[in-house]
Amino acid sequence: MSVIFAIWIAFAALGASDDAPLTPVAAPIPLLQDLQRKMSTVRSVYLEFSQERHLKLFADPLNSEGILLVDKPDLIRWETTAPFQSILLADHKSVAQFENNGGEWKKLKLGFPQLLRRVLEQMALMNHGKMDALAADFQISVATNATVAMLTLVPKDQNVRAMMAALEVRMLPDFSTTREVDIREPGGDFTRIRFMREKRDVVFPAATFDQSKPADAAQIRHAAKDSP
Amino acid sequence: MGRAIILLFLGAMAGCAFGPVQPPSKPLAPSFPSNALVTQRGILKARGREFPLNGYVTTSETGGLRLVLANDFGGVLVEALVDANGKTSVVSAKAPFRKTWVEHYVMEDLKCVFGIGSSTNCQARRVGTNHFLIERRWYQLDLRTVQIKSGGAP
Repeated sequence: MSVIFAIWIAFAALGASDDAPLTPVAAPIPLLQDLQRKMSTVRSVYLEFSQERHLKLFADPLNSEGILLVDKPDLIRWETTAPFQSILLADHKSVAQFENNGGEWKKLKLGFPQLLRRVLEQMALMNHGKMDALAADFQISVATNATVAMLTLVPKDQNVRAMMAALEVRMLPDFSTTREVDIREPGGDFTRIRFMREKRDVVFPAATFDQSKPADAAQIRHAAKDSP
Repeated sequence: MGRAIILLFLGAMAGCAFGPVQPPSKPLAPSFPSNALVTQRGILKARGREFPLNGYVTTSETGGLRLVLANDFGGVLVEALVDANGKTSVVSAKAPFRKTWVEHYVMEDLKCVFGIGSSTNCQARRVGTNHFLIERRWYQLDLRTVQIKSGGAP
């Protein structure tokens, strides 16, 4: 689920958060429509992320990091670069995952590809900036203060809600940028994803989303670095 | 959807035997520091399909373990404890894992890799400095230790 939402926020940009009290927005629909318009104009996105998993069982968060790439119409790459290396690729019809074992990439014979494909379908909706699709699955509310807007999405499906209580997205008040997403679980555990070094409308290397032999992350970083 | 996952997973697990396995042995010699957070990446293979998993294990000063098993997207699948004598307690197990399956296999493999208890049914072997292979009749787990940090237990 974190991937789904990461894709969605990939079409926003980066921003800041603020601890000051937030005031609920009584009529959030115009704001959400504005967000949708902004998302729909972006062709591709390159993002680096750090992910912290906060569990009551552990004193310190469990950390990982990686890159997230999205290219229209439906290409997605979620790559973990530390503490292990793994690439998840998807388009509208298939998914693939690669593991790095001792420097060599190995394609996995994935179990549950249909579930990943379902995730992909939702990613595609996000990719097109279809907030109406989000609204079908989530109860969306907005709260703001002078420097931050926070979207809270609560799953409508009770079964989903049993696993994920809410998604919290912190953005700039004009919805132009997002920097942080919290995925809240019913028991109090949560995952925090911070995004950084965003590049938009990057022309990715040809094999970036290749499900047989994907391009190396270093090559992609180089392409992103050269983008405006 | 959860039921579908369980059925698919059990179907995969029950569909065929994995093949010849090594003779069972005792747990591996302890090789992990105490009071540490050990991060492991595993690929569980069953009936020709592969399932990536992340294991987070804290080792206590007294020789106990805490395990969190998570999927690629951060979802926790298993939470479990092991005391220094090898007694296990499964705190939670979510689909596709079942509690009994976790008790019988996940905890057994955990104790084998971390050198706890006196089981003689271990199927784990070290195949590299940070690389373990567990082969049982129904599954294979290719396990690599990717990070060890001091501390980590609450």
